Amino acid sequence: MSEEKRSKFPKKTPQEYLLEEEELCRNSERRTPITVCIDCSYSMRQQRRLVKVMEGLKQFCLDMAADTVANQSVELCIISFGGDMAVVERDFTAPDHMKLPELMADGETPLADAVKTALVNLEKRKRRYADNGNSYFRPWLIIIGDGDETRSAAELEEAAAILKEESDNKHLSVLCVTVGDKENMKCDSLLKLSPDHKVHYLQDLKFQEFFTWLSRSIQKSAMSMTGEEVYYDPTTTWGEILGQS
Amino acid sequence: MNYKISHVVRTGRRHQAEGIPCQDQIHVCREGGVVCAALADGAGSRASSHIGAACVTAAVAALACEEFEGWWAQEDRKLAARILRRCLEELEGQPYPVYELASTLLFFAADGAGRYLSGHLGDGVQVRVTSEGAEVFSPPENGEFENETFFLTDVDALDHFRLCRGRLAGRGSLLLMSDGMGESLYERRTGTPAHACSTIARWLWEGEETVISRALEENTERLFAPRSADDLSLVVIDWNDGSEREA
Repeated sequence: MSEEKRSKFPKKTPQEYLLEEEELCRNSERRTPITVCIDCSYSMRQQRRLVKVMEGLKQFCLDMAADTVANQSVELCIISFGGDMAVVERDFTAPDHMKLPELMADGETPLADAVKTALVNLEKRKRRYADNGNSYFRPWLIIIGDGDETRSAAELEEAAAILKEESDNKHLSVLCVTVGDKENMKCDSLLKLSPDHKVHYLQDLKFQEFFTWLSRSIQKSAMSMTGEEVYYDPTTTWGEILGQS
Repeated sequence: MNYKISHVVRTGRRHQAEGIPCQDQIHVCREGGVVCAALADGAGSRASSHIGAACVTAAVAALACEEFEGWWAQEDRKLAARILRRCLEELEGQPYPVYELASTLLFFAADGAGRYLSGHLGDGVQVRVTSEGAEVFSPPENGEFENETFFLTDVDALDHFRLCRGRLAGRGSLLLMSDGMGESLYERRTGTPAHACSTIARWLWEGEETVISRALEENTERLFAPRSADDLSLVVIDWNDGSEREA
């Protein structure tokens, strides 16, 4: 009888129950795609606006690269819009591998083309995520500029309608930032593109503060688990909100 | 039917670094011949969600044991509504807005006769292991994006609350895990469980509950925690009707 009551298995200590790495899943990383569209029209030469954008972007990449979780998740795409067209300067790349482009400010402000280029490129990226089994957080689209669309008003309307739909369906977070002169502000196009008709005016070209805020916001998004509202830090450290409340 | 239950909860690296409480919570109840294990993952950016998760796991585990016969007799949709209502009543009794207490929910309850009820709302995974192998019993439900899922406090929670019932036989295990643990034990692309699920189940078949819980802690620290910054939680429920003999 006592034989039957004895355990059939030799007693082990907890330390003897060891899983092997090979027994676990190899899930692909989760991604946070961020597209930054940068105005490279002639007026961005004033007050070294473009230079300051790039300095801020460099700091952003350093901040993201220093955060292990963010660096594994964030993929940054840089699109310039100047001359007569928008260009994908850097396709989606991890912050620690990002080599920032040397941008020149010249020509017009093809804002609508920038939005369309960004959306096409983002769709390509999302298809790649699907093919590779990557899940991803809601993408960000950040548009930084100092002027209005100079190419096609109709295309701007079309781009604005797409952004509104994408944002309303929670497919995309859109942030429009203007860096022009406050006294001579031209931000009607950005107001149109902004789904909530709000544009952030960057005070004193505080790009470092702006990108620090962006880093923090992205980290918060990555921490959140749901379709819930994520409460971002106030933007008052770097700007003020223009447009309807 | 005999049951054994082992579990582990560990605060994620991100929450540890920021001094945020662990939002994964587990509660196990055994009463009146019924066992129930409940696991909830509190909403990431809601300050009191760990309290909500603790509240609903304790409530569901206790209620399942107290009211198992009533639950079993009720049709699935009505039962889901009943469980949701009771969870919300518990949350409304807390000194925080219900919105701040949002969490997912996974539970498994079974009686001495082998009748079981399981429920799942939101992300996290349930994996069943039998002598036939491991399979996903209830997959995660996410929105389009990684950080979108469904909560007990959502207005449409009932539409996303999956209930399942049946009768257990032979020997087997159910693993309930949060999405953080799923990072290691559930392959998102194929929707399949990791081989480790079978290994863990086998541990509990042969080992004591407390020893296996400790083993889960050791393995979580060593293997799972470095693979996810999220909170990590896992419950393993083993059942055995004594009909399967060891070869």
